[in-house]
Amino acid sequence: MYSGYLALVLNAHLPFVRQPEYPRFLEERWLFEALSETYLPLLRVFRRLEADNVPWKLTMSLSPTLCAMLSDQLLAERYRSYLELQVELAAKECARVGDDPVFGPLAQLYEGLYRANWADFEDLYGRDVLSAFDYHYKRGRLELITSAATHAFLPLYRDCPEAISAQIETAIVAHRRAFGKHPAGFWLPQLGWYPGIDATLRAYNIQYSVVTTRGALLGEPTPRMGSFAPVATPAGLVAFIRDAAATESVCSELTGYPADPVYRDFYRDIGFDLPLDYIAPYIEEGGVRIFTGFKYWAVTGRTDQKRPYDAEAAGLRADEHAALFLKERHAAACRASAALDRPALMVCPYDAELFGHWWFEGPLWLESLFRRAAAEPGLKLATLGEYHRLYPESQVSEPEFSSWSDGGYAEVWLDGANDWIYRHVFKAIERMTELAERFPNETGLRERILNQAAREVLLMMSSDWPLLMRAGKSGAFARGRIEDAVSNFDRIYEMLSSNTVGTEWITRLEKRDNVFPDINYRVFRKKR
Amino acid sequence: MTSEKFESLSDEELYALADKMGLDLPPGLARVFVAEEILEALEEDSLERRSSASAPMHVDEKKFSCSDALSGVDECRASAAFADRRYNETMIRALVRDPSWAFAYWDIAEADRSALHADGVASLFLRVVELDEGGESAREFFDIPISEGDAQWYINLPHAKARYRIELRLRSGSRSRLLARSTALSVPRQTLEFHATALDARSSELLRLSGLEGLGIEPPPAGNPLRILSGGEGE
Repeated sequence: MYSGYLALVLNAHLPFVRQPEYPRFLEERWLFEALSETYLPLLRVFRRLEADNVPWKLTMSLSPTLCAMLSDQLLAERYRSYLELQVELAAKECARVGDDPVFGPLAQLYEGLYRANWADFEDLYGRDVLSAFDYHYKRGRLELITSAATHAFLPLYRDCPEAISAQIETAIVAHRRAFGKHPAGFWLPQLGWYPGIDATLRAYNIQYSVVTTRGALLGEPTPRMGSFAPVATPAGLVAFIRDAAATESVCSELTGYPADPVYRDFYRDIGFDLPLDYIAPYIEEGGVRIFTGFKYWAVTGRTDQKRPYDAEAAGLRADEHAALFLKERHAAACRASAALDRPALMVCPYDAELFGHWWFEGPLWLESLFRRAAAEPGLKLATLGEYHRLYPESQVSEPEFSSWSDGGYAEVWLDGANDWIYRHVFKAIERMTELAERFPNETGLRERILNQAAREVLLMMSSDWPLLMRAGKSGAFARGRIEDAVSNFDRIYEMLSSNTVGTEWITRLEKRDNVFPDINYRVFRKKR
Repeated sequence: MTSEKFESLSDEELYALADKMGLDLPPGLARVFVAEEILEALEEDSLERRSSASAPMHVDEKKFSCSDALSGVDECRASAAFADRRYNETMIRALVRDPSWAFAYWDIAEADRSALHADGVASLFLRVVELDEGGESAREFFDIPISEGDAQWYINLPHAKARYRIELRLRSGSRSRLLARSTALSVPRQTLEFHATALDARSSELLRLSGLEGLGIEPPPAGNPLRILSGGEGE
C-alpha cells in the first residue's frame, strides 16, 4: 500500500516567435535555448530511464504554439545553424581553457551537450522532436495534454465565449494533428481558472485540468481533502490541485533547490564576460551582448564573487535534492493519509523550461527522482489520467477565479504596462465573430483569408505578450507582435468589408504567420 | 516561508539557510535573531521580486532571457498608431483584475460626442453599480467623475464576492443619461468565510497540511472590520 501518489506535471510552452523575414532573430533563441537545455536533455533522461526499465510517469503539456514551432522546417534549419555555432564556440572554448583544471572540464561539458543535441536532433530524431515525445506518449510513460491555442489568459476573456472556444478547439485540433489522439487533459495557461470554464472544457470532452491551491481552497464548497485529492466541478471536470509545498521546494528563487550555492549560476555567462572580438560571432549583430549558454560559475550566494562551477558536486546535490523532495512528500502523504479515505495525491506542476534552462541540473534532479521513487516504497508515481481512472469519484466543488501569478488573480496580465492592448484585442475578437457569422460557408481564397484572420486574432491573445511588457523584457518585441497582429487583422477586415482582396499580401502573411495549418475560422461563430 | 516553518527548523538548518542566502551572521546568535535576519532578507527580496509567492511567474520569465537588458517603459507603451486609436462607438468594457480592482475602458462615438457638447454644461461619470444576488437589479451604487479626455480607469471595488456593472453616464443639470453599460462582473472572493477550525477536525487538518496558512486566505480575526486589500494599483 502506498501512502501517496506523486503526479509531476510539466508545462512546455513558448509563444510563436517565428520571424522568417529576418535572417536571424533574437527572440527565436528562446526556442533554440529551450531545445538545447530543456527539451532534448529531458528526452535523453526519458531514454536512459527506459533503457534501465525505470517505471517513470510524467504528465506534460506541449502548447500548440510550441508544437507548431517544433514541427516547422524553417525553424529546424535555423536551429541547425544555431547548433553549428554553439559547437564551434564549444571547440574554441576547449582550445581557450582546455588546459585549465577547473574550466577545461566545463568547456568539455558544453561541447558534449551541444554535440549530443546535434546528434539527437539531426540523426536520432531527424529534426522531428515531437515524434520523440510521441514515442513515450504511446508507450504510456508520458501523458501529453494540450493547452490554449496561444496560451491566452482565459479568465480575462470569460465574457467572450467565442474566443474561449476558439482557443480550446484550435488547441485540440493541433494536438490531434501532432499526436493523433484527443487530449484528455488541458493545461490552463498560467493556471488561470474562472467558474464556468469547466463547462466549456467538458463540452470539448476534456476530462481534467490543474488549478492553484488558493483557487481550489477558495472554491465553493471548500474541498474537504485540501489539496490531497482533486475536486469535480459542477460540469464534471476534474480539477487537480497544485501542492503548495512542492511548488516552493522547486520554484522559489530564493529558498528553492535551484538557489543552492553549488548549482550553476544562470546569469554569469561568457557572452558578457569575454572580449567582444572573441565572442562577437556568437552574440547579436552590432556587438549586443546576450547569453550564450556557456556559464562557468556556481550560484555561490548573494555575491558577485562567484565560485567556479563543479558539475560533479552539482550532480550529487541534485540527487540529494531528489531524495529530500521524496522524503518531504512522503512525510506529507503520511500525515495527510491519516485523515483521508484514500492515499494522498500530490500534484506538482512546473514550467518545463525551469528544468535545464534556468535550473541547469533540473533534468538530473528529475531523473534521480524517478529512479529513487521506483526503488523506494512509499510514493507511487502517476499521471493525472491514471489517477483519475483509479479514483474517478471526487467531491463536487467549484474553484474560485485564480492564477499562479503575482497576487493570484489577473494582476500580471492587466497592469499599467499592458492594459492598453485589450481595447484592440477585444475589438478584433468582436469583429472576427462578426466575420464568421457573415461568411459561414466560404471556400477557396475567401476561406483562406478568413482563416488567416482567425490566426491573427489568436496570436494577439497570447498571455506572453502582456507578461513580457509587465516584466520589462523584450517589451518592444511583445508590443510589436500585438500591434502587427491587430494591424493584419484590421486590414483583412477592411478587405472583406470592401470586397477587395490583396492576394499577394495574404499569401505572404500566410507564409509568415503559418501557425495552425488546420484552423477553421468558424470556431469564432456564436455558440447556439 | 512562514513562522511555523522557522520553528520546524533546527539551529543548524536555520544557519544553513542564512548561509545559503549569503547572510554573514556571527556564530551563536540566538534563533530569534537569525530568523529575523532571514525574514528581513526575504522581505527585501520580496520587494525586489514583488512576491516570493509568485515564484512560478518569475521562473516563467526566465525562458525569455536572451539578454539581461530590461525594456524601457516607453517600449511597452502603444506606438503612435495605436495610442489614440478608437473605433467610433459608444461602449464600455470592464475586466476584473482581482477582488479589489476592476479595469474599465470606454469610448464615445462622434455622434454622441457632438450631443455631449450640444448639451452645454454636461459632464461624464462612471456609475459603479453593485447588483443583487440575481445579478440583475441594482443594490447600491456610487459615481466616479471622469473627464472627456479619459478613456480608461482602474476602479476600486468595495466588496469581494459580489457582482457589479459599470455604466458610462452623462450628467446634464439634474438629469443623468446612460451612454453604455458593461456586462456584469463577478468579483472573486479573497478569503474564506470561516476559519479552518470551523470545519471538522480531519478537514481542518488537511487544509492546514495543504498550506492554508501561507496562502493568506483565512478571514481576519473576529471583530476586525478591515478588509485585507491586495497589492493592486489604481489610477
